[in-house]
Amino acid sequence: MMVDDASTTEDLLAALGDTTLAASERLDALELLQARAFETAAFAAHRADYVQALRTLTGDPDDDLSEAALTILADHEDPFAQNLLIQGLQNPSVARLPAFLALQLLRGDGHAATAAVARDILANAADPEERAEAAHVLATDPTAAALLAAVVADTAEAAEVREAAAMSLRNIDGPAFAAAARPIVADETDNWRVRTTSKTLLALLPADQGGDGEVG
Amino acid sequence: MTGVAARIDALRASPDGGAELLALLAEQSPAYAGLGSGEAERLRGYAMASFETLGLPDVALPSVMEALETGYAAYSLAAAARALRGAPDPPEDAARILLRAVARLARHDEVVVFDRFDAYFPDPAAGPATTGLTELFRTFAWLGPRARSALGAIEKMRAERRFSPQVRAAIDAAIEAIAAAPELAPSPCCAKAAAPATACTATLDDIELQDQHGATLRFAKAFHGRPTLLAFFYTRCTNAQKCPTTIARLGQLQRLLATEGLAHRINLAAISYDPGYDLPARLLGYGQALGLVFDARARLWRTTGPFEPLRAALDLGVGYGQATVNQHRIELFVLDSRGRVAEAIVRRSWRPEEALVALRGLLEPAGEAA
Repeated sequence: MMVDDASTTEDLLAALGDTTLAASERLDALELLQARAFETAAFAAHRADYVQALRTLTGDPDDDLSEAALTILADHEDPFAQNLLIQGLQNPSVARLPAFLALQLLRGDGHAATAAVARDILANAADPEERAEAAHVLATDPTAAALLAAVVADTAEAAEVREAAAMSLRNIDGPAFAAAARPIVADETDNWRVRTTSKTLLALLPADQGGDGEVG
Repeated sequence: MTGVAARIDALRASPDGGAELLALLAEQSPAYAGLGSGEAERLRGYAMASFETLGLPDVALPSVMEALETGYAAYSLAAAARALRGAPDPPEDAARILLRAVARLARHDEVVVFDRFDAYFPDPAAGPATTGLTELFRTFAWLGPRARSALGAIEKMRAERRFSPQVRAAIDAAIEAIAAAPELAPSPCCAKAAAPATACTATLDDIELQDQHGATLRFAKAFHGRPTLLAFFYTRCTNAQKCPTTIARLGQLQRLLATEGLAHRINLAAISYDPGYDLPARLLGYGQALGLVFDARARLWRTTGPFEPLRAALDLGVGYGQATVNQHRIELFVLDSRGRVAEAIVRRSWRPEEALVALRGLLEPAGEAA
């Protein structure tokens, strides 16, 4: 089965689920379906079947197809996809995507059950990229303020993790951020990236929260 | 989560399971604590759908109608539609509310299965797959003559291409069921009785609140001396039918009070369910964006301490996930000039005009207000 612009949506959905076709052809079908899905009104009659096909595809043996499907679903805050990503973060042996990418996909939804696993990763994981993404996730978790403040203040911590923690802390607790950031700005021996980020965020923080109130 | 689902399965099979299932309709049920919003909504929907076969008790009807009136997700709308089919006496505005649910769901319908929980992934082996829209139209068919007011709108939908073949078949069945049934005589009663008011016996007076400008006051100081319309909300709410609408209507009520010359005699207030995140600056921006004009009589609030004492005192219908609210009902309270609950409006949309009537009834003669 060849798929192209002239294919019907039904044919594209059939091609997407046809495991006898080459993965490249199924990826072409997926790309065409994604383009059509953008037209929400015209695609409405196919939406339920498309979501179902994507959920099925997350278990496909072809990594490109399964990752593409998972990413599309997660971008739409699909609870099934979010659950798969969280399971992967809790148990890396079943992870479909690298942890940093899973966290990136989850961080747009403050209502997902991501905070606990993000706190755990920030406190315990080794990979700085992963830990920085975990710090970004915690930008919507007011209970993470103490953890984030400790990371910001820790000069032994990777700069990218401290910067991410500073941004998140500023979002949930301005005074706590200001208290952590001022010593960093004053310490000329501290990392220049962290100092610059801290100074910028202090400038954006209103004076009544301990910031410099230069903007906003 | 699967443990709760298994419990629901057991309750469905038990002749005495209804009471425990009813408790699972409360957003604050411990069964949902710590879950994401999607998970909590889905699990609650699974419990709610059980009432299709168990029979829907009157006390559960407001929960079902609120889900139909405010829901966006295919699963929760389908669950409520199924539960309604267990009602011995559906409300007269059921068809109108179902039509609006169809409009909200029309562009993001999904396959759903209720015969087994199967977290997120309908397994064809678990039972027949249906969709949210299909369930809504099946409920129109079940309503039969009671959905006659919606017949014209449904007939127009039949000609539209936006529905899948499965949904179109359900539309055809609904039209047939509604058209074939004899017309019902109009009911002598214009509407269902409102949900009973929540009686507040616990003291709220000492709870400290902070407003959108950072000013702090005790509950008693904030709300004694005048009648108050007290709503609940949070700025991260993603359901346009709930918190954004609540605050926008508070703004409408504010303008109505000004027109009536009552603005200085009544407090308008909304307290955030999410005090850790809804800091004063967020309250300020949210209220302004939704048309509320802040002054001494109109403010948004957060608790400075734990929210739980307030939740417990007013028996608020709110549950929490890991970082924020995971589900909540619509709820607002009319307080008298001593801060006591005179009337509660829960689980339904409300109009500023009805709130005005309730507030006006609590006003002391002009000139006596503090």
